[in-house]
Amino acid sequence: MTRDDRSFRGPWPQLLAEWMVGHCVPADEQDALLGDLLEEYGERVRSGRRRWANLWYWSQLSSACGLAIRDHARRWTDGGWAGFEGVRSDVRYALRSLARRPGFTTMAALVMAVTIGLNTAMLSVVDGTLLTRFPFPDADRLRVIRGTWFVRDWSVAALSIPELRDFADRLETTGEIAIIRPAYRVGWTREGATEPVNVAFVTSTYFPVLGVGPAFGRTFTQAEDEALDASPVAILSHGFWSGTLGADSAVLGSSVDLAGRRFTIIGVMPEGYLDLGDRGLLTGENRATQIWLPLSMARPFIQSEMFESRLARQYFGVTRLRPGVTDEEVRRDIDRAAAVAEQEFPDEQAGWSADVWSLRRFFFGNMEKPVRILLAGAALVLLMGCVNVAAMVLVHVDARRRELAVRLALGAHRVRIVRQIITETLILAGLGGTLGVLLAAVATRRLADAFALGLPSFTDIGLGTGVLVASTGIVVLTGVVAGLVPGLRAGRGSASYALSGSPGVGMTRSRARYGEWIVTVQVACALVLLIGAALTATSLYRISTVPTGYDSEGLLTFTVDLANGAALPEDQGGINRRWLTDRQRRMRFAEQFVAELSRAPEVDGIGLAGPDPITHQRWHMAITPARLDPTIPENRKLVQELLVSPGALDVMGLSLIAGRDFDWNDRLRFDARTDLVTIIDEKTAETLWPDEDPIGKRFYNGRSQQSSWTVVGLVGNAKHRGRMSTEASVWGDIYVPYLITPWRFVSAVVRLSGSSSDALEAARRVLRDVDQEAVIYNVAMLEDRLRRQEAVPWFSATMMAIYASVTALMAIMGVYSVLACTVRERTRELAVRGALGAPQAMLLTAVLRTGLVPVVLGIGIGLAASWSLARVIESMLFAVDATAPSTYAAVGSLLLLVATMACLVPAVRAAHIDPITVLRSD
Amino acid sequence: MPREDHPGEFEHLVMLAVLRLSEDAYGVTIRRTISERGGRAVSLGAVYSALRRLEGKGFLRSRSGQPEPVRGGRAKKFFLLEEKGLRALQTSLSRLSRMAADLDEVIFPLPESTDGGG
Repeated sequence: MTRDDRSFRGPWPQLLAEWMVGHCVPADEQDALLGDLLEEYGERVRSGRRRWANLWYWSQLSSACGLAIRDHARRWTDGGWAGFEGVRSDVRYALRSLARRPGFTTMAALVMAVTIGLNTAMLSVVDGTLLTRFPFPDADRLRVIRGTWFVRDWSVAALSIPELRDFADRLETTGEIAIIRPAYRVGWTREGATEPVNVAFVTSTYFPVLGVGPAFGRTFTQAEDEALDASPVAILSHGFWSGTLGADSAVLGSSVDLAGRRFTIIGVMPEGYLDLGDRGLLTGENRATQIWLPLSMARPFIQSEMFESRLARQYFGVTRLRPGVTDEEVRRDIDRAAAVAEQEFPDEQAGWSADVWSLRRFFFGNMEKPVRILLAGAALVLLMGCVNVAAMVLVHVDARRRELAVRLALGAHRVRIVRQIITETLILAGLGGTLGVLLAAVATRRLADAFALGLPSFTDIGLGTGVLVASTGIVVLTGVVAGLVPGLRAGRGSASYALSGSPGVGMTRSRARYGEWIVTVQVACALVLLIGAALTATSLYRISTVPTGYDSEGLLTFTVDLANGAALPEDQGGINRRWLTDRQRRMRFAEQFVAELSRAPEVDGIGLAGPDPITHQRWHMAITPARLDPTIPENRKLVQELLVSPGALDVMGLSLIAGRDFDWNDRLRFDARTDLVTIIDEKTAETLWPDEDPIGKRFYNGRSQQSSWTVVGLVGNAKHRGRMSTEASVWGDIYVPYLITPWRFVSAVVRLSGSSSDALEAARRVLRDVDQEAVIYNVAMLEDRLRRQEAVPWFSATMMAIYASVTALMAIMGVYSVLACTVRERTRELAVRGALGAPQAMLLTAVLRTGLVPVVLGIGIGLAASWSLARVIESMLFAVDATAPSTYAAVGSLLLLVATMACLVPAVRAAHIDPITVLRSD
Repeated sequence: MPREDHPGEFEHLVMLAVLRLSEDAYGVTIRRTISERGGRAVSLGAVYSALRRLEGKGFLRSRSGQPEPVRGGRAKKFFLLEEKGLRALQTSLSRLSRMAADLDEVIFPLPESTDGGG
């Protein structure tokens, strides 16, 4: 290109113009085109319309480039580019070709079906959980405030009302802090029958902070929030109103009877509204909130000390970040406020702080990482599937070499051949994808049922439009990717070469190299997933073998709500008086209920406990051994407190190591204000009286020496929060006679002698006799409670196991078929070597080596990849070291062993080739 | 899509323009001739596309000119009709005229003058 004179230049940016022409237009035309454009442009500029000239220049330039590209593409595709006729004939051709090979077609479609199905299933899980759009305005700034104790990422703690009020006063980085006490079960009485409903107590600020209003009616006013025990108003969920109440349009102003009180309905929340209470963090039961009551109304339901005590941590805060504030800043702010509170109340606040959780973390935090990892695993399976199908097509392409060569020689264009092969794989992917999506639809439903145990009630895991669109994308991608390599290879071969007769050595070698790479990739992927599966399975196993302390088999649990109020005249003398009255009633209930139910033949043993076993609802007590001064904070130890009736420990399977169980007379001591008795676990014994016999020892509860307790029994440690809770190991447990503080909600633990439904029926029968207002809910076998908590690890382990088996199968098939192919192609060579006297063993090892080199390479890569991914996967493991060399060694050698066995078949065949037969046939 | 030896309509226009311009046929002039004489607005890119095709079929041949300042120092690419192109033009035009013979009145009907206007 000579440019001796640059006196005239085109419109800015000339560089772009040159770049475009340089990339689109054939080299020998570039100068002429740019020159022509400039010449005319100059004329137009001179005639005085520069702006139009610019427009003209660029439009001409673009269209020239576009046309040049089109011409180029046309030349390349032999004139058949994307013509509909061409596509149709491609499809016809591909269908015929697939129909001729039913074995290959079935295999490839199955591989596609499994891989695409797995991906679709995982996508629907992601869609139903992590991608949930929360129906709140500016939901990104909403935060739930939850408690932490010493460690920041402690996941289970709620907060007490005084603590949340402190934060409301002291935090500068957040907006208003609303309070919710979710998942409270209350008896709802209608037409004489009482059934449990799910209630949340909220402050009047709750709905405003969330930014939602009712579908109709109104939400709570501040007055209703503050007036103690005097504003019986209720808001209903849309589901409760439309389902249970039959969408009664005159609902506003009518009333619901809850626990013997009459509440006026003032509003109904909109359809699709989801509540923080829908996630049963405390109870482990994820039920949709049905009714909201003002927090002030919690007083008649919750003992006043549970309302005012700093230790009664049952509440969550909800707030919005102030604009421009980050979570980190809020955490610092919270820590500051918590430090102030700790100085004021060293007993109750020591080590306590809080954390802010986004809605996604609040609802799906426990599964976010596992789900992401599983999605990545599914993608890996997809990659494997693509490679696998590509390998199958490749083998087939090589088998069709002659046909393809003839077609090339007859003038078929390469692109046409590439297109045809991609059409084939696309059809396979389409077939497999359809099957896979159907498979996923069934599988997702099953998985969701098991998995949903750990999900909020609003979660809907299914094949939504988004998932289907994504799956279609995956199908297309899979089809193209799987067809590209073999397609390009088929289009590259030279006609004369392939037609020349015997399979060329060079060709075989390059195919073999492809084969080896495929084996390496497959083995590496399979190993990564196998190690993942081994780790998650170990983790699940570890969880399942954690001793809960309970004898969980055949143990039925349910909660009884001893509804109060109805039998009592409206408020006579305040809360404490009522509580005392209730206490009498509950004590009477406890004794009668236990006595009568234990006589039922369906029941082997019955005890009462509180709070519910295997939940994160726990109470705490700060205790000091009697030899120390309880006013010094360091002397006080925080322990978990459980109420149990006489015999309950035995029913649960927590057998006494020393001392005695409670008996029904222990309550008399309480009445007489004599010594209170308690049973402690080994951990508490070790903490308070190391190396001493704890029986007969005394401790103080709280800061004063007024309330002193005597240890009468010692039991083994138990995991009342569930097997996965690591934090429970921080505390010891102390057991207190149920009769001393008869809690309104009491859990019954029943050792079954027959079926659980019989026992439940017996319990209902007894309950009707003993206390007509009491309601039974939360019915579950103890093992199911454990399973519910362990839904996510279970799901992870199951999915990982599926991934691993699918990929391992594909990898082994790959190892076998690639080597078998190589042996087939090298038959002559092997026969010659045999004829020249090579011993069979030598041929065997030679072939084995050929087969195993890529396997070993793949194992190496897989081990390295797993090692580097160990940190990622560790986050979803329980008590398993993700870098433990033993796992890697075991899984690696297992894979090597199986691969060797897969290689052995073709190798033995190779060693037994009869030279005479082979060479004669040649 | 015109096949090998049968130029399409636009290719006819381009070849005729090249023939008409004889020594001075390059992008700008060809385009101008087609739009001014042939009365068909056409982009430079389309002209180049046709030239490319015709050169590929061996109907045209090109040569490079001298760089010119008005063209930013770039050379022109001149086109000349090849023998093969001329023959193709002859064949198709004579075929066209044979087919069109005696049909003038049908193809270009005279305006019916009823009131003697014009």
